Amino acid sequence: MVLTLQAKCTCLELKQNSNSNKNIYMQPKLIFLLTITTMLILAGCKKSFLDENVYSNIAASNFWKSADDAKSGLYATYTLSLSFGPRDCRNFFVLTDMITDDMDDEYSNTEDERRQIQNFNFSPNNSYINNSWVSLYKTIAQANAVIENVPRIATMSATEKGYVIGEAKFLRALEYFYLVQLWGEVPLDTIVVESISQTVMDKSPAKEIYNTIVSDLKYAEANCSDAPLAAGRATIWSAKSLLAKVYLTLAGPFSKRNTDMLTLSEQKLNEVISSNKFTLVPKIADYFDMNKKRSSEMIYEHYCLGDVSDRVGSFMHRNFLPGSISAPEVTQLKTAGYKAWTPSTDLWSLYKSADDRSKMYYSWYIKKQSDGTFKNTQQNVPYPAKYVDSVTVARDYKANNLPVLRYSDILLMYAEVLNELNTTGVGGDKYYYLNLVRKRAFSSNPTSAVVASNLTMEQFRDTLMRERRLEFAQEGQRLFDLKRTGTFISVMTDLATRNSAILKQSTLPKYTVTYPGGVYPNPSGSVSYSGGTYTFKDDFVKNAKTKAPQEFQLVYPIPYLQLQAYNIGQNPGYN
Amino acid sequence: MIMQPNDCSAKCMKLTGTLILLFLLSVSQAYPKETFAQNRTPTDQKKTKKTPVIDALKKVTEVFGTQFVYDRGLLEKKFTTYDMQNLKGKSVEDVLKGILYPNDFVFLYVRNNYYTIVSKDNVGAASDAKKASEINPVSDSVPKNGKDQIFKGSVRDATTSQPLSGVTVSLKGTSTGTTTDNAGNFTLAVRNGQKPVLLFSNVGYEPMEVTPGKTDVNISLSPANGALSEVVVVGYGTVKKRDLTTSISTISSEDIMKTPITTVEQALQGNAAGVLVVNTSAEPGGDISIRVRGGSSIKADNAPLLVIDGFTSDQTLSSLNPSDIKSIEILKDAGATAIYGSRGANGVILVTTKSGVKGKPVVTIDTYYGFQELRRKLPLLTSQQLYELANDAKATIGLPPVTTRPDTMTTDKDWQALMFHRAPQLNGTVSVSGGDNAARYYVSVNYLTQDGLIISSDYSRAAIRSNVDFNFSKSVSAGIKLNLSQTSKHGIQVGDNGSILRANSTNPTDKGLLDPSGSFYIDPSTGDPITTSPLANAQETTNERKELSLQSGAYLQFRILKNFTLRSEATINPSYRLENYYFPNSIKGDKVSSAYEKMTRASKWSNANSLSYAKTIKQHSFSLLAGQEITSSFNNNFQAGNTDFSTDVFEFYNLGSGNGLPTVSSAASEYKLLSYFGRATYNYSDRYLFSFTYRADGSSKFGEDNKWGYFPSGSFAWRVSNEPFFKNINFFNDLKFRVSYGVNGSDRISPYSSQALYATRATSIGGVLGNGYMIDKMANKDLRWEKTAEFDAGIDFSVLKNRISFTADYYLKNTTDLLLDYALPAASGYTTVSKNIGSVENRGLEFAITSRNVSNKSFSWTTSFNIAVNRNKVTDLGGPTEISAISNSSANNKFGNVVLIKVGQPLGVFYGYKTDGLYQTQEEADKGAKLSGMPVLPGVFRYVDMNNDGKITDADKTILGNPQPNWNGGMTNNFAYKNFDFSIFIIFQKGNSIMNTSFTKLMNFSGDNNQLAKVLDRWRPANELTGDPGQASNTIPRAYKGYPDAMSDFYIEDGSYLRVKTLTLGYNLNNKRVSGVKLPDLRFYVSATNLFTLTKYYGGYDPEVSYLGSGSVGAGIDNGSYPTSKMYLFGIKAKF
Repeated sequence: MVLTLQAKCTCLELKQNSNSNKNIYMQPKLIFLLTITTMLILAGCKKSFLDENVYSNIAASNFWKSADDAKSGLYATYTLSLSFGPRDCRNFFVLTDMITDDMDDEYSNTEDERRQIQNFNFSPNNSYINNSWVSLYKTIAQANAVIENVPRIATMSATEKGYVIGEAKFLRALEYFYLVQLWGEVPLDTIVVESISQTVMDKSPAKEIYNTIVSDLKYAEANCSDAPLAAGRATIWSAKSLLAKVYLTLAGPFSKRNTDMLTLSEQKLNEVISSNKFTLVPKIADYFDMNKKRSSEMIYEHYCLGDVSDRVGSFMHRNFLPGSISAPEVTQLKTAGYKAWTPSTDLWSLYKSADDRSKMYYSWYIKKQSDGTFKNTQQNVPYPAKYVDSVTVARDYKANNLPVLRYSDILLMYAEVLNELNTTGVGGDKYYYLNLVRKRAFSSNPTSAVVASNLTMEQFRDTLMRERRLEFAQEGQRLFDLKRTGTFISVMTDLATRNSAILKQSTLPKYTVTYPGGVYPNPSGSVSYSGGTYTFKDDFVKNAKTKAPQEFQLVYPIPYLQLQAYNIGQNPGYN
Repeated sequence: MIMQPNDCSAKCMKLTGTLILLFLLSVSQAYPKETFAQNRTPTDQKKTKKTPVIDALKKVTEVFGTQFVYDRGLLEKKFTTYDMQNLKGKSVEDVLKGILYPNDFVFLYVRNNYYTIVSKDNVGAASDAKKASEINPVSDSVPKNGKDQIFKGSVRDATTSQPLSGVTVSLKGTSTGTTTDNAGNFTLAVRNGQKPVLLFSNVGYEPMEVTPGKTDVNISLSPANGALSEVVVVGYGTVKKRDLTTSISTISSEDIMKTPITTVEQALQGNAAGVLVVNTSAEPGGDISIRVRGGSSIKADNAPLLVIDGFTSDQTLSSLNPSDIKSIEILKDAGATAIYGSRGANGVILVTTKSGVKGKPVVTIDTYYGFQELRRKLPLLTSQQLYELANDAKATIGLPPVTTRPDTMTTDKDWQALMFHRAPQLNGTVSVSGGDNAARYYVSVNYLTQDGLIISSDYSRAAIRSNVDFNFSKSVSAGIKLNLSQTSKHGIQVGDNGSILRANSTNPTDKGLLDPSGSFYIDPSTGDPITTSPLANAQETTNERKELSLQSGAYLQFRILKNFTLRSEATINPSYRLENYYFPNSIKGDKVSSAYEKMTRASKWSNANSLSYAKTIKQHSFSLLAGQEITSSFNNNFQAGNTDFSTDVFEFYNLGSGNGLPTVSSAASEYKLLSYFGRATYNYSDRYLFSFTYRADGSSKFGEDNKWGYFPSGSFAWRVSNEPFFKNINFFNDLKFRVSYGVNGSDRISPYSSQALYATRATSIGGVLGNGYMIDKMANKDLRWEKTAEFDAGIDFSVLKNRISFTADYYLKNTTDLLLDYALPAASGYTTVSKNIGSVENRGLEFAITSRNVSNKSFSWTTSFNIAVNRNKVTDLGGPTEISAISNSSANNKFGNVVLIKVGQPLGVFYGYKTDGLYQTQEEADKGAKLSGMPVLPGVFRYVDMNNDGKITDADKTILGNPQPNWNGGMTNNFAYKNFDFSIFIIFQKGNSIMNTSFTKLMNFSGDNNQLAKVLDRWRPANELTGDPGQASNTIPRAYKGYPDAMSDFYIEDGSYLRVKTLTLGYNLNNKRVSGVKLPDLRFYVSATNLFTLTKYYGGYDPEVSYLGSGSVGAGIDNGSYPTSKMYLFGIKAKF
């Protein structure tokens, strides 16, 4: 301020001088003085002049002031969680389903990194592995920011804060649950990282990570809302269901199951079932129907919007659909897909033709004939059709939600727990719960689907695991089911042996589909087509896995880029 | 009182602005007042004051630039009462009459601005002389006392031996002198007893001092080394080239115009040692990358700082019309660049535009028309060859052939012929220049239109420039420079998924774009329209970029007292860019219609004030400069888009008509820089020259406590040729050693890099689109300036009467505290943070030679040649030994890291497996080290097991090549014979590698798509059934459907080339009259660009390629880049 005043004075002085025209030769000196003063003022101002004005971002220090800030911080966490899920779905499906007996890399694909996973040739440089790691931790970091900052917001009630923090903890638990299952020991980050030195974190034992998951979920269970506060938000029931699954996972493999954990799991499942808040939708097709989102079966889903933005849309259809779409007027798809993967022949063979799921979950190439009818002709392979959205028009981002927890999962977990504990549940025995799911799948003749009550514990396990496979195909469950039951290596080794034998035969087995005639619903006038039987191309067989994973491949390698940033030690077997 | 920081900022700024304004106003009032006041007060004593005639003449020299020869003795005691204060607007003759006539002296016109003053009595026969040869001023200016020595002789041109007229011959230390007559003869009388030293000087010649041993003096003057007397712009000032202490390359307007170029960047190619220019895309209006002495930054921009007419510019040079440019200076060493401190680390390019020249209006019209052609087509397979390959490829993996009759595949569609066409180019500039003592102007209008080699790509520019300079008085001058330009560019998609690569890989059996009915072809097997045919893509998609920019600047300059100059400058550079895109419905198959429009507005202003002082005391010359500069730039953009349009009519002009949901986004950022700088030079006797600069820069981009960077430099030159002991060494006309050291900086990262920021994220919760805020960037309060310290040692000399001049420099540049995206463990929630880390070193040598080989009246031949060697090395990465350099390439996705930044290696080296030929037998293949997933067959690559562990893993990957040349340079030869001139301009570079990633499509041996003809040389097994002996090859692998390739040296080619960049033949018609009417000066020329290229590069169109070359890394990758064209043109230049 002193400088400023001085400068003003100098200006006045100068004016007087020039007016009076007294001493012309004084002026250069004044100019000097003035120049120097100007410079000094600029120097004096330097702090504020060089401060950055932020326009299209928010400086971190200005955030977390209101309930709206809390909500938008939380909602961003949800958006980030779409990344290891429906949004960047390749990471999700390649890491969870494509390494199992459910899904194979499509035959004609030559992309190296997907092939590596398909062939159990895991490289720390594989970008699917790194991208998954990064996106999971990004969601966690955002959840940490919510969990740490929201308590400081003065204008929110404890209940309101509980909702927001509870849901953030639910999301954090979900992401850590993925991390610990996919990589084993990983860094446990529960703080808001503010400086470079804080970014350095060592691995934590899996037990510690599970402890955090359980305590986060317990908090969510106690503080979240009973009913979703808005579509897509987690509830206490989401937390209880996930907790049940975590306990079931902690119960360990079939060979040595921990009864305490099974009991804990049973309690949570019991609570969910007893609440009578959830029912199976009558037809499995309804669950994935875009017009019937938020059904009574839904417990938690990655919630997507179509058409609007890449960040909140699902990209699953693009990866599941075949390379060309012949009749957009029928399929309502204005775009072809990347045929990134196909169901395995192993899974395909398990479906009975009367199973609604065989038609609902899969489709094949239908071609418009010159006579205007639609018929299947010589085409490659079935493609998964769970996530087809004919409502929204955008070619890239659709509104398909990815289920995380649905009621059929609760029922099948319950059947599993009852089998393991050899007990009977709240509404019936293990067969009752298993058959609930099966009968819904065989809607035209439910009784034909009923599993007779004469199975041994082991036989029931097999039946149940098969049912989970059929029910949750392309939902990213298979790897975790196989791993938590300790069957991943044996199942995959067995598969590789069988596939190798098949592929050595001179004539490859044929896989067919029989489809009835019908009418495609179409806004611009429905189109009828006749039924028939179709034999898929040999490509379908040829992409079957012939390699089996090794023991150390139960977890993925720590991504190379992460080790390079800070060496937390590679997982055993990958060095 | 407590003030909010922002508050304070605003007030300070306002106050500063006001002060600057007041200061300018008050000063501008001050000076005129000094003179006007005297006019208004005739009683002022000064008016009637007597002035010595000699002083008055000095004043005349100062004001009018005239020179006089007179006898000091005669004029010594003469005085004049002529008003010497108010010479403005008067003619020099009037003034001289006023001074001399009352004293009975007269003046004789010798030649332009050159007068001899003699006593009226002594005029005699000379008084009505018209020419210098008819007077003998010596006799008038020297007392005739009979004791004088009379020196006589002649002066000739040292190279042509032609007599030189008008050479000033003077006696050193006196005003005594004369000029030579038409025959080059002179006579000069010198008082006896003096040991005379005669000085000979003439414009365009090196001055000469002679101590005659006898009275006959016949000498030859060497033409001046033009470069030495040139004024070189050095940043906040100018200096004579002879006084330079630093390494600066100058490109004159002649050099700029010798190649018909569309943007100024192109003029830098091959014309300056140590400057590497690469077209990152040869498409019309495409980007050009410039590196001065190698790239030193990894993340931060490596482009040199652009300074246009004294002001830093964030824009590219593409908005400038090359014809408007007077000169380009490239400041290379830190001694030269440190005055630009903060942003000088990658060199500085100073562009000076033309100013008006005093005189009648001179109109120049410069226009050319030409056409561009594809330099070469890629050799591709015919249908038959392709299907033979496809059959082989299937046979290798045990599948039946695609067709048993490849020879019946006859549709040989030439996709290259459909993609490329002969493209015309037209360029025209009209400029007018003129002015008088009070105001000078240069105005020009330019229009350029250029079609691209590829259909649907073109570029046009319309530009108007107005440079006006005013002299308000002897001491106050001002000027305004305006350049308004509008450019428009249509581009096509190039690169990994671009039209060129796709067209070349399209099967020759495929049909063209449209069927006879005018519809797109439908794939008969799927019923789909042919999936985004490359042609359809190129032809139907609109990809447009329009830019409107104004570069405006004004300056005001005062001379205060005798030795001070105050200069104040300001610029405003607004620019608007519109990028439009439309993908029509007409190309079905893969996508539906989509459109967007993106507006980017950038507004930059700056103000610089500097005070300079210069003083010469005997043999000591000093100059001082102090200044301050303030810069602020604000950028914002806005984008809207939509999809699913029901008609293609609107393109992107009616985004609301799309049926999709419109998308909209916008962002803004600001950047500010505050700087103080100073320079001091000291010159002792033109022998020892010192220069020191210092600059302090505060950048808004850095962390709170690290905003300021301080950049000193010092340089020293020793002009040995001016040493007394050197006088007798006639071989050297000039010899100078230079050495400099200085520190520069770089802040060229995005604003806000040091701050913790939250970004918006769309949300879907609630089933509606909402906005969330998420953590985005981690703060790094320690973020500070990237610094480059550079040492330079150079030598300049010219020999053989300035026929040959030579410059050489050695430099060592060490960049530390690199601004880098430092990889963080993602478990922190962040993947990178901007951090100062690591160091990069550049070392190099530069040589430039200019030689006048022949120079006589009818024939001349000059050669200039430059060559530079740069060695670039990453010396530290702050922990990791290597980091991945690029991420956005399909090759990177397919093969993993293909470009590395590795300690001990140049920036951006290529990385992959080494191959050792092909396996020739199954036995060899079985024994060899195996790469997982690779077939074990004869005819496939034998990858080298670098670590000898028996298998091929990532650990066996090694450095495959360096995209940076070992050396590069250029050579120009100019010939003139009578009215003809001919020039040949050659550029060359050696030792750089090109990674041709288009091989993933064009050399994949699968037979699925068309391939380079080289696959015909592939390894083929013998076939006993057909008796085919097969074909051995050790370089080209066998056909293999679905060949699981890996990045290897197979993809690396030698990118060295030598190219005749330009050949020009011109014919000049000067001073011609037809029926008494003077014709304009005319020049006609024909020119060819890229006529001839010597290169081994096979796999792509042109070795001048750098797909990702705008950064330091990712250079030298060819993946279907837009090819450089050949061009032929005819031009006319007229001046009247």
